[in-house]
Amino acid sequence: MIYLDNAATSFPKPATVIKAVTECLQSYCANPGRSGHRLAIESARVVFEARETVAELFNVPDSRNIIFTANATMAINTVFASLLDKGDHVVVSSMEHNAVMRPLRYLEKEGTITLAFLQSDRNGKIIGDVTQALQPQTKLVVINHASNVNGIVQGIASIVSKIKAYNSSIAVLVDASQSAGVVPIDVKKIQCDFLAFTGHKALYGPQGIGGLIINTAKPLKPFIMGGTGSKSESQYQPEFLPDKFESGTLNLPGIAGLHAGIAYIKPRIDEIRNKEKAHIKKIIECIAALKHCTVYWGTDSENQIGVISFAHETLECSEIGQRLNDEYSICVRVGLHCAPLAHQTLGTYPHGTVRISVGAFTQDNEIDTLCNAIETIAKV
Amino acid sequence: MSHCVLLLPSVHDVMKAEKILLKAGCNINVIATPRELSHNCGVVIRFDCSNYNVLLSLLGEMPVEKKIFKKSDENKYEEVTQE
Repeated sequence: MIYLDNAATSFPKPATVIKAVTECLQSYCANPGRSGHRLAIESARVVFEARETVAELFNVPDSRNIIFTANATMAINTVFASLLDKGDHVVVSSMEHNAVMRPLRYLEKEGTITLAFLQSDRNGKIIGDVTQALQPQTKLVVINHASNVNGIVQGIASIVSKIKAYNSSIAVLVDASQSAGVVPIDVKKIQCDFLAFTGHKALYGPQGIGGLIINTAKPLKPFIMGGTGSKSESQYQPEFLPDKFESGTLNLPGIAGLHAGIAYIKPRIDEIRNKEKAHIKKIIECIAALKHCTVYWGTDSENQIGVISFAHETLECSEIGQRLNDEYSICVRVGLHCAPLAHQTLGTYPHGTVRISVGAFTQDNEIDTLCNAIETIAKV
Repeated sequence: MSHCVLLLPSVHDVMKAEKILLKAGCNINVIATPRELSHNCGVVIRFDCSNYNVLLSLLGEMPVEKKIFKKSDENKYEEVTQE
């Protein structure tokens, strides 16, 4: 089996991640912060150390600003629920995933917000004067850091800097679901107000763990409220971080696995990136040489993660995916990848594309097999 | 030997304080918050009251509210006012 669906979730996971999750479940998996016994305290230590590790990875000075969530979608929804009020204007990039678009379209439909888009070229790269989309009522700009469809990476530091220079009170949320772990991210330098990440993609943790980085002093409403293990005498949500945004029992095995995943990639981040770059280059070259195929990527290998899409003139992407699966045991993802807006931008809506996404464990010979398979299938 | 407890707002803060203090070689324990003080988070740091100044100095950089209680001979906790 050749797994090339790492943009959906990375697979396999490093042995150290499996060990950390297993050890947690076998040895100490109590409820962190809810009791004073040794296992609960050990569990709380694991959460603390994981939080510190995440803070270090993204250069966040105070790890209280790392909020653990179930996934990036929950982190993104937390920002919308915490920040947005009736009459607010929100600006998004044209490459957003439905994790961003669905909640925003809901708010737009119910009359809470109005929505506008940043200008982009046909590859999804944000171009032009980003401040042109801003209005006096603009409260939030959402930027997809790296696309889950064509892998393009946006120059977020420069975009955020332009937005802040125009109006420093406008908040910026970066969706780093695909980029966290493969593109260096320095929150302090970027100066975004929020960054949402997931643990199960390029951070190599298990599914069900993600996070939100809060890098703003703006007043925020709590989203999911409930027990935190702190201020138990009060029926009101604590105002301090991380408790304000972390009600309910945390996903401790997930947090332990995420910690191990980050520990795995940290010393190898350049090695993984270079390997993925080489694989993507080879895939692009082999598909671009085929007569009836079009490759969708960022067109600049320096601003590209290990994700590309392609489409065939006459063959449906679902048919290609099925044949790759049935005849070659190659796992890819076909369709719209929960990102219809991005496909509209790329001109691949509504048919979608075949998406290939490599990972830390992808082998050179697997790319050769993929190229041969696509070459055979694409001949019509 | 009289003991004191340090109350911090959240479990995260207690874990951070524990790490700082253990790294500095302090003899401390994380224990369940005594019931009469249970208006805060579920755990506190127990330490020897003679280390009061050392502990506060080591945790000086932590920008959170710190409350310290001393266990009296009558087995009651009394708040120690920080100077």
